[in-house]
Amino acid sequence: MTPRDELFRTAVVDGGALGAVAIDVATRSSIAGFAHAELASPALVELLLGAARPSGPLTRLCGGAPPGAARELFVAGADRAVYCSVVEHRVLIIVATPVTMSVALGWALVRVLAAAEARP
Amino acid sequence: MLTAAVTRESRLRSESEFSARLRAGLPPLVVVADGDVAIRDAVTGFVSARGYRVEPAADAEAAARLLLTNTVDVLVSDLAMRSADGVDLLAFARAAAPTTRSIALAANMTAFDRDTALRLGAVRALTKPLSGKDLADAIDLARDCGDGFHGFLYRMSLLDVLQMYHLAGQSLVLRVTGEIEGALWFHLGELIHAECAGRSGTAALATLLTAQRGRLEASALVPTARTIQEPFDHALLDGLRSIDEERAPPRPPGELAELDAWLDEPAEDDSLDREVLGRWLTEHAPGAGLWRIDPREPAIERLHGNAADPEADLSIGVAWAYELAELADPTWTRVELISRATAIALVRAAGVVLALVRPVTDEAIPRRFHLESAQLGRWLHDHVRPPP
Repeated sequence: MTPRDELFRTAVVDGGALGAVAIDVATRSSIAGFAHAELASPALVELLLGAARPSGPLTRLCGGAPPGAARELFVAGADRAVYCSVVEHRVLIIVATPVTMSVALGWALVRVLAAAEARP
Repeated sequence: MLTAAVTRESRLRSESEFSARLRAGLPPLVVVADGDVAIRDAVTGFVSARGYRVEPAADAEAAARLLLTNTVDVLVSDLAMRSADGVDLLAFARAAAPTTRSIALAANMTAFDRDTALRLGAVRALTKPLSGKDLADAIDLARDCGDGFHGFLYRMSLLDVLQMYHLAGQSLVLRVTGEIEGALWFHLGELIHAECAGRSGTAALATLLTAQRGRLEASALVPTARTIQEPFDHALLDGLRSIDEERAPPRPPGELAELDAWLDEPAEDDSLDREVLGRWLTEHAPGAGLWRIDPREPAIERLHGNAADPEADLSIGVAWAYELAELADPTWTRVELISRATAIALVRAAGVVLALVRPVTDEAIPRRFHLESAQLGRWLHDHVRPPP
């Protein structure tokens, strides 16, 4: 386990999250993480980063231009909440938490990890 | 009058002199004007022991001469001296030595004295007998005020002031008094510590942010343990979020009954519905746009707001957010998507999907948007019932 992984492990375990991962935007590979299997599908990552154009029925209805990359995404579901944050166009941080966890704490976890991934 | 002796040259001392002398390593000069020799000597000794150059003055005239012949950084003046009183001296100092910061002293200081002294530019008004800590704090503050403005501001929210000091990169302690009391420590513009009601750190910050009115007083930074590790923006946003989460706004019964009815039974003619929704937007998210999504039709319709923005661009953003939500978790109930151009929140309850949309025109938009999104989500959850 690398020091980066250790940071993610600490954030997840101490923060009460379900998992967290940092993905290199250029290569789409995981560069650090803990308990991050199936945290976010490749399709979600591609759509989030603006590499894939949305193609669902609503988008066809709108017929607009493809979006750029997202900066932040928060999705609260029935069992878990997912937080995504793109750091300096280089790293995508994804954190999953129990849906009962405070949204403020969830974003705080993301920011701790994002700060570690930001350039000095 | 003392002001008659003011020269044009003395008025034109630049603010940069103080900084220049500090850089040159010359200790700041403090003039101590007090007719009571025991107090004057005690204050002079105390100030000198703290590393300042000190010039004692037995009366206002002597102090005025020192102000005209030296670059005085701090004037400590008794308000009741022989011949000319301290109030005149403060007025003289403000006119003749605008870079000099004053501290007023008085044995029986009334509210009127204090108000007069502060209006004449004193950074502090202290009551005798003096405590060493109060005097030291006042001199440190006067030194801190050597550059920049100081004085009174009204109708500023705590949020405004915090952001102001953050943007200015200030190092200081901001004390809050009034309905909620506490203090916030800034170091180079970052919030490093907060105390309030026996709490510290972000919990104290969140409590302080609930204050709607009170008094703020800045003073020199004093060393403290760091309890807030997050960057300023994040700490502030998290504080606002926690307030929002704890404080579900109570609504009078029936206040938005029209909207309830519309959401339960959509009407063919929605002119009334738009009016009700418009009121909701005006109250809770002024300037935002509200959209309704029907993924079964499919249909996406702008209900209110954002008329000045290109509709197609925002609708594609809403569709993008919807697809992301479905990919992330098909059971989603609330989504926030912030991109460089737009902030979009989707909320879903009982089959109704609404989208709140704002163009991102500055960095403050996303911060506030989180709160608006949470309010809309809570409102929808509280007011929409599943179909029978």
